[in-house]
Amino acid sequence: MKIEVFGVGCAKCVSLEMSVREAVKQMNVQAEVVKVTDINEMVEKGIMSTPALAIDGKVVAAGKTLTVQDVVALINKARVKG
Amino acid sequence: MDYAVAILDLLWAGLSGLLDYLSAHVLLCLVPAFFIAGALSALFDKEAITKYLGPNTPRWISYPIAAAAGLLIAVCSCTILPLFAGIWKKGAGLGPAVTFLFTGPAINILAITYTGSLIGWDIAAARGILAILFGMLIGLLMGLIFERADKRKGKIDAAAPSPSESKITEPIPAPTTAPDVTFFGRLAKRKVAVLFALLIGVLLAGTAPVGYFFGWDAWQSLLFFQLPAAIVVAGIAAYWALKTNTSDENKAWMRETWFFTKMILPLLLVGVFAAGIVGALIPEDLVAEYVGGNTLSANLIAVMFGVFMYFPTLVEVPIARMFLDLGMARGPLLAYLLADPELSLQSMLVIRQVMGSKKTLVYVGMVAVLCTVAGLIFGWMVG
Repeated sequence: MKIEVFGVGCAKCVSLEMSVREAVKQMNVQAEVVKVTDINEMVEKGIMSTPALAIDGKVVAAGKTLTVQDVVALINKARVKG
Repeated sequence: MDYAVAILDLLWAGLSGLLDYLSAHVLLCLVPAFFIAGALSALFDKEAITKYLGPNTPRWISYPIAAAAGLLIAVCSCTILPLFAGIWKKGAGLGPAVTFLFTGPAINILAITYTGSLIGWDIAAARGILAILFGMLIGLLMGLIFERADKRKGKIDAAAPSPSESKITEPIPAPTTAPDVTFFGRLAKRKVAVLFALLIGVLLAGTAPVGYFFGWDAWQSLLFFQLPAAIVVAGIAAYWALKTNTSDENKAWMRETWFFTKMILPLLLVGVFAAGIVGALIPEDLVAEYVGGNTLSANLIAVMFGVFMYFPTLVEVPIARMFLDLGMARGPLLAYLLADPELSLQSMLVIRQVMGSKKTLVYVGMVAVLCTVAGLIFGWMVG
């Protein structure tokens, strides 16, 4: 599973990345967490507000800070579908 | 010993800056503003703005919407920069994107109310209105210069507006400082719009200088009108939020509000403290000599200072207050307030990443020139 965190480096994006790393640790899933800061790549993916989160290439959240529980729920949802 | 006294004096200057800052009228403005920023962030669908900024939107709609959109965006480069890139590459094009980029940081609700309560509502209003006008002007110019050039090279894609649409003879519609009802209505459900209006009501009640009309002192006005009125309206807003929002929505709202407070307040406190100390160190005649009058050079110096100094979001306001106390004229002060949030080194680097060196240079140059002109005009009007 590949989890991408999109953000240009503001406080909210740092907070989302921390939630994601914590969620991955708690769930004990095999996941690669990547921080994407290139704004052109975000535009390609259609992301208009950061921080955004993509799981396996699919954007699942944008423009919100998420709690650890929120991220856990999103990862679970992606796993069920995948 | 002398050094110790000097250092104590400086600390005192910093502290008294802080105490002034934490006065009731500033808090009455900042606290509601944090809640509003949180509500905007959690309850408004920001991406809906882009519906009005699509590739086929006529210019007389896209430019004013791009200019007004900043009102709905809370202070954070996290929203401004990606939306800017998105509007340019997937939406209405370079011009409206640049308009949004310029206007956004200057007219967001925290910046305006904070400027108003700390420096004066004349500067706050001028900052908002001039940011909207000049944002549209810079956007139009950028669109004109580069979309034509790109077209000649055949770089532009089919989604770009056709040549007949890029005539400049079309009149620019009067800028709206507030989005109209349908624009608002589509962006958010009615219940959120009502909540938003109530929150603005808290802000207005808390900052309205009612006592002025009755010849009351500032504290009387505060005690007998502003505080009770703000509390009553806040109560109605809380009731409305509990009644109409789901508990998840309210939780998200509170989380965003807390996040803004946590992120911005410490920066502001440190900034105010530092401004107090620096203000005590800078000799007044120096300020008077260089930026004390409304001259071309004074405005230019103010803009350059804004470009090269980087202050975190909103800290430019206490800094500006410090310069005002030291005798800076109001024209250059406005020029500085316009330039500082637009052109920091950090934002220039990201902008360059999106639109390349050449466009960035032209943009930066235009912003510097226009901010200087804005300061001159404002200084001339109030002087």
